[in-house]
Amino acid sequence: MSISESSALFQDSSSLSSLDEAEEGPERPPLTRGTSNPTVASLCLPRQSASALRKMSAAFVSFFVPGKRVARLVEDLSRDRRMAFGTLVQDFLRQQREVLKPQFLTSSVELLQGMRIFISQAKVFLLECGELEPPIDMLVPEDEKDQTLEKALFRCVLKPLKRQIDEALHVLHERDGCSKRIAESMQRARKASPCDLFGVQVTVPDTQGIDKLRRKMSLVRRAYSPIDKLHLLLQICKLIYKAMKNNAGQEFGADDFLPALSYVIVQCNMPELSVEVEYMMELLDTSWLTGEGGYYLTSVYASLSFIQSLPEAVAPTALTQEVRESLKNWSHRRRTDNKSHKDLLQQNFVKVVFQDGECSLMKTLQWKAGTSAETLAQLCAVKFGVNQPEEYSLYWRRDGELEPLPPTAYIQDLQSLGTTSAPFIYQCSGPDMKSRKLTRGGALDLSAEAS
Amino acid sequence: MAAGGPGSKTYSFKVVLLGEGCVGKTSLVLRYCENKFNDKHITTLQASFLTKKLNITGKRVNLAIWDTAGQERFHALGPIYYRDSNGAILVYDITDEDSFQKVKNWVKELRKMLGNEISLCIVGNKIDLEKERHVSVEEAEGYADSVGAKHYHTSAKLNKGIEELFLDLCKRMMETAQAEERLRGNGASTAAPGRRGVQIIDDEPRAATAAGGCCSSG
Repeated sequence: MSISESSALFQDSSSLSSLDEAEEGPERPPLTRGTSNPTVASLCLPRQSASALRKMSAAFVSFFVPGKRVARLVEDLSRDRRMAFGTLVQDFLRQQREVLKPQFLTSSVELLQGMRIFISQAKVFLLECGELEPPIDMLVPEDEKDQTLEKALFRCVLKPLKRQIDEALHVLHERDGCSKRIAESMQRARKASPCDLFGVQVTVPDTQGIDKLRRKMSLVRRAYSPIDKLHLLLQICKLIYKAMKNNAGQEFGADDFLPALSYVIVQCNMPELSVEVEYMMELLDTSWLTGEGGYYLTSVYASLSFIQSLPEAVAPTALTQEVRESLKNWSHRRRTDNKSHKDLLQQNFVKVVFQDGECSLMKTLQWKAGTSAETLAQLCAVKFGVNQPEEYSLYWRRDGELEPLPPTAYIQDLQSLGTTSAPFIYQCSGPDMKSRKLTRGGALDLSAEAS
Repeated sequence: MAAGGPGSKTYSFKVVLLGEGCVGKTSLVLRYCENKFNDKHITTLQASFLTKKLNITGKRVNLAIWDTAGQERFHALGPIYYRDSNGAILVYDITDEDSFQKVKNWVKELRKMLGNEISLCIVGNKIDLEKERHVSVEEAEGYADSVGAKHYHTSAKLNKGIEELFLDLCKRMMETAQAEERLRGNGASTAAPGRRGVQIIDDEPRAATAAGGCCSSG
C-alpha cells in the first residue's frame, strides 16, 4: 500500500468499509449459505430509507467485490455455532466480553496481543477446516488471500468488540497515566511555539488544514479495522506533504516531514492518537508494518515519543524509559515464530472423517485438554448424527494400518504421537459395516463438505 | 519481516537511512529510486519512504528504504526506526568533518542495538566537491573497516557510485539472510526467529510477555 494508492482508493473517507460498518447494527441478516444471491430483502425494511439504500448498495458491492464477499461469508460462518469456526469465534467473543470488563483489565498490550494471536490462529484454522464455501481459492487470487482473510477476521472479531475494546483501552490508559501525560505534553508543546520546538523549516497546514486533519484523526478513532485506520493515517500524512509543498516541487525526506508531522499532531490536540497507534501496532500483521503504512505509523509513534520527551530533555539524548521498555517488549513479541500459531491450533482441533458405507464426511472438532477418545467418540456421534453410537468407534492410521483408538487415551497424547495432521476415522465397528447406510437421525449439521 | 527463503521466494529488506541534515541523503536515495537528480522535478512521490524492486542473480529483492530525521533533536528516536532493519546506510558529506563524526555515533548505536546482523554502509557523499574535501579517504575507509562496515564514495549530483552501493548492500543482506536460513534449516530452531529485533541492552533480561504476534502465513 502506498500513499497514492490509498488516496485513490479512499478519496472519500466514508468509503472505508470499517467506518460504514461501525454504524451498521450487529444484526445484519446472514447471507443464505449455498446460494450465490445474498438475501437483501430484509435489508430493505425502510427504517431510514437512505440508510436502507446504502445497505442495499453495500450488499450489492459485496457481491461483486470478491474481498467483501469473502468478508461477508466469513462473518456469517463466524456466527454459526453449528460450524467449528463459528464455535471458535463465538467462544472467543464471549470470553473477551468477560475479560474486557474493567475489573479484569491488566494491560493494553496483553489485551491486544490476545486478540492478535487469536486472529492469526483463527485465520489458519479457517483455511484448514474447509468450512468456507466456496473455498477462498475460488474467490480471490493467491496473493490477496491472506489480506482478504485478515480483513474478514478483523470484521468478525474486532467489530463486535469495538465499543468494549475502546472503553477498556481508555480505562487502562487513564489508570496508568498515559492519557494524562500525553495530553499534558501536547499542551505544553502548543504553548511553547511548536514550530521552533520541532525546528519546522517547511510550510505547515493553516487553521483550516488543521481542522481537516483533526476530522481525519477522529475518523481513525471511529474505524474498528486497523487496516482502515492505517489508510486514514496515510491520508493524513499525504495532506501534510501537500501543505509542505513549495513551488520548487521539492521532494521531502524525514528531515522535513517529521517536524511537520509533530507540529500537526500537537496542533490537532488529539491525545487519543497514541491509543490508536498502539492499536495498530499491536493488531496489524507484520507484513503491514514493513511497508509504507508501517513507516508512517512508526513516524507518528516516533513523533508522539518526541513530544512526550520534551520537558525532560532540552537536548534529548535518550528515549524515555517507557519508550525503551515498550520497544523492547514489542520486538520480543514479534520475534516468536509464526509456526507457534499452528502448533497451538492443532492442540485444540482434530479432524474426523466419518465413514459409513460409500459416504464419507469430514468435520473439524474442537476439544479441551483432558478429552479422552471415548468423549470424542460421543461428540462424533452427535456431530455426525449417528443413531446407534454404540456401534461406531474411532480409528486412526498407524503405519498404514487402521487401529481403534484406545478409549481412555487423551486426545492431546494421541495427537502428539500420531501422524500429525492425518484425521481420525469414525466408523462402524461391527463386521457388517460395509453394508450399512449412512444414518443421520437428528442430524445437527448436514452442510459440511463431503470429501 | 526479514527475509524470504531460497529459490523463488522474494527477499524483502528494510534499509534505514541515517545522516545529518545537509549531507544529501534524500538526493541520494531519490537518485537511486527514481534515477533523477533535478530539483525542478515535480512529483507527488516523497522521499521519506521509498521502495525499489531488484533482481539479483535471479532472485527477486524488494527494498524498503526508511529515511530518518537527521537533526540532533531527533537523535534519540533512532531505535524506533531501525528496529528490524536488515541494512543501514550512513551518509556523511566529505566536505563536512562534523557529519562524519555523527556517522560514528550512529554506528556505535546500531551495533549496540542490532549486533552484527545488520549490514552497514558508510557513504561519503558529494565527491563532486572533491576540492573541498575535509574527511580523508584513508581515515574514512579505515574507520569503516574497523567497525565491519563497507565504505563507498558517491555523488548524487553526478550519479556516481550509487548503483554499486545499493547492489552491494543487497548482496550482503542476501548473504546474511541465506546464512540465517541455513541455520534454521539445520535445526537450530531456537537461534532462528527474529534475531534482528532491536536489542536494548538492559540489566535484567525479560521474557517475552506474550507468545508471538505475527503470522504472515496464508
